[in-house]
Amino acid sequence: MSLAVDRVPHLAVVGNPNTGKSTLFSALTGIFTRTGNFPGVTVEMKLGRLKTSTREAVLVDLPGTYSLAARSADERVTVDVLLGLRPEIGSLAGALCIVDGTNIERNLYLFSQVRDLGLPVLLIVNMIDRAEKAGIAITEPELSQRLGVPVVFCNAHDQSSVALVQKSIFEFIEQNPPAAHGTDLAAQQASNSDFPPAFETAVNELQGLLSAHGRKMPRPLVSRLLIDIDGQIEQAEVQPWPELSSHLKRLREQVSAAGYRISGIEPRVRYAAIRKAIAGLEIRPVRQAGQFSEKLDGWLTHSVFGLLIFIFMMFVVFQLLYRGAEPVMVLMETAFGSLQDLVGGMMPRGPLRSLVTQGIIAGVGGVLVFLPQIVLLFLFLAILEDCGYMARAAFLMDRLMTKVGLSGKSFVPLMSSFACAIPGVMATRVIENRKDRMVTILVAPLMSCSARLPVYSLLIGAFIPGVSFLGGWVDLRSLVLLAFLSLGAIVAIPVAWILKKTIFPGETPPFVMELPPYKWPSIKTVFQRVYDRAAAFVVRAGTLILLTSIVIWGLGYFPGDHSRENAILAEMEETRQIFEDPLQRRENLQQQLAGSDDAPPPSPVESASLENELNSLNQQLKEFDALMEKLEGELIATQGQLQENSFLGMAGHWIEPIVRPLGWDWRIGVGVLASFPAREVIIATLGVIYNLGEGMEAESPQLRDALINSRNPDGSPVFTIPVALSIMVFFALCAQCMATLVVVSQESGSWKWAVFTFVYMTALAYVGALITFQVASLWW
Amino acid sequence: MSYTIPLDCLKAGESAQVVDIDGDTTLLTRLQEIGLNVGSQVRMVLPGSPCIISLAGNQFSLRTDDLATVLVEPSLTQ
Repeated sequence: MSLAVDRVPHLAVVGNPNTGKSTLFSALTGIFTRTGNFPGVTVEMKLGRLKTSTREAVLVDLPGTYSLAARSADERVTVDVLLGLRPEIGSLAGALCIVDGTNIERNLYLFSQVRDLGLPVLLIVNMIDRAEKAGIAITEPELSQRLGVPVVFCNAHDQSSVALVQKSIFEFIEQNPPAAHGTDLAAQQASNSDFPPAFETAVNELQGLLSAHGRKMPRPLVSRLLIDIDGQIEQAEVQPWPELSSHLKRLREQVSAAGYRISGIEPRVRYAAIRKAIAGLEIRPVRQAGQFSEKLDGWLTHSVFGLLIFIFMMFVVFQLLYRGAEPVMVLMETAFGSLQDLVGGMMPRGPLRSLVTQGIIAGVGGVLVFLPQIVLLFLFLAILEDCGYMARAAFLMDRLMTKVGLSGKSFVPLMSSFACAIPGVMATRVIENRKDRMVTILVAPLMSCSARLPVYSLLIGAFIPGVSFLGGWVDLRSLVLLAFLSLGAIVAIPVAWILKKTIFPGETPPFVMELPPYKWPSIKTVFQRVYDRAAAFVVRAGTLILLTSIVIWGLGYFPGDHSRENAILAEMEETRQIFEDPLQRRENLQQQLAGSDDAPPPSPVESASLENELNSLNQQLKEFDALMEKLEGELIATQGQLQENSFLGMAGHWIEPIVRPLGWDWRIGVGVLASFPAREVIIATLGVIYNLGEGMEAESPQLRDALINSRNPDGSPVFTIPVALSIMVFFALCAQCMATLVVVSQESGSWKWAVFTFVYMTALAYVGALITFQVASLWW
Repeated sequence: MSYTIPLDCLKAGESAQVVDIDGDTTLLTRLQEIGLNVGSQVRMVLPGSPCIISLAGNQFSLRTDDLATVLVEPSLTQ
């Protein structure tokens, strides 16, 4: 990447969590940012453009952190970006350090670390409105003079304030042209260090040792190497040069001997320097800023009421999820159905038309209809997170999580996995302890993600009787649905416990988490999160699922000869055209007799005359009806034969012995086999397999009836309650999602863990389905 | 007159000054990063495991188990 001076200046945005950093970033750059890719690690860094008519800069939003001490490769990226060591970003013109105005002293810790990297820093004191309310009375020049960097106050929710910040940023860039601070940080000496001379001497010696060993390292990084005992830098450097360990040990002891224990030296030195710098300023809140939050917390974190409120909230969220999304889903289904008819009508009968309507539109459309549900789910999660409630939920859950050896930190990733395991697995980055993070990553795909929902709704709607108890308050179908939604989470408890006892043994991790004050969620932040996730889902439907749909269609269509099928279809269409008028009339009569919302059923007299007409029409169409029935029978037989002889059918018969003990026939086996890349594909596949062609979606009564009516060769129904339960258990526990496995391998750092996840979940699913079918068969 | 007790022995609403922190290095650094240093003022908001403490007006939930011991001196003026 070019380091030319005329490049658009890049600035890093750093800050503690909960300082309103994301809000300010969106306010400055607008919502359509792009995410930077970092090979080898999976940190998400947002790049946004800051623009006026004449000037331009790129802002790089780094993950919120309390400190630059890197404990993982992901955290290391932050330091490397700031030092200009990541080629994807290049050298920086400076850093914007965002601090919480109600908590300046503590936030200055990170600021002082960033400043010591040798970068120009602009300090942005955010939430200044709240700080003033809490009685903090300082001015920009005062703070700027004490800290020796430019300072600007800000309220990220106020547009005029954001405009002032933008102006300050461009002034800051002008005052710090790229040449002024240079790129050669390695040569920089700690001239005005807050650290004791004994420490600086040790850093010099370490830097000398490293460069003698051929390792040129910027001095700030050498300091971090010395300070961060067993941190990421140490691990990375010791690996190729094991003797470094003993050098580090000796140098650390040397500093300790001079009276400065290395463990804890950094906070002690930095906080002392910060206190000295701001001494006498009215910078601490006089009044409690968070009294409202604290009162609310009295309820929300209560060990009994808090849990009840949490359960109630989850209940409401999931209720709204089904009811709120339904109307839009119905609309989308209708739209995809019409699209199929429209496109199908324009194309000649044959493989191409079959591919477009049955393969592409049915496959992708069947999955896209779940977009409203997914958007709603992410909306709820984003609101709960942005208003500060998620941290409380994590606090409440810590008590339960410690029972399996995890901490409350694992809760939010697992909760997000109920929407989708991909953001869930990514959210495990907040867990510092590697073992706990690994356990959380490995069980996250067990949580019932939104893609399992269509399978449950279809099978429950078809096979679970719609009875209700307690005067209609509790309905059996919702109970079964709830049971399946919880199944993965319940199974995750022993799985996590076993993983924690065997592969990742260790103490129950400590739990330190900030509870940010409650606030109204920022519309921009929430919108951006929902937009990002929804976009990712649509892309997935357009790529992976599209591809699978086409492959499945091809395997089901070939190598058979479809001329007989096409001939029957053509004959049916022609016959229908000949009788078009009487058919239309018959439909009208039937509608009139049934009545509708706008037209009430006709009076008995009218009705009698209408029925007479209908009877004579039926007589007239008798021949037609008989012909159609015959043709339909032939069609089903032809299609069934084609399918059984297709590649898909061959594969199905081949795996039948494996799936028979689960109560499945070869068709279900094929459906499940095809849905390993993405579980929602099962709906599209069942649609194709059951010869229903056009308009196949989970809610579609056609598919439901087809499942209920499908028969084995001996005439017994294919689907019984035990079979339906066995399929649902299989889907609840199986790792049928390529994308999740890819993310698991990225986040765990090795594809072996993706294989592990796949194997253990599939084994669990098979055994679970087997037990379910065998036990349930004793009753039904 | 003062007495030293572990942080988790503070009662709800009680304030105290941190006098000593010891234990696992990583956890100690983490605690110091959030501002829990020797000399800091803490207030117990909700005792228990995990507990909620207030540090300079910000709330933290905390469970250190056996990995770290935070000793505090409760303020007598309450």
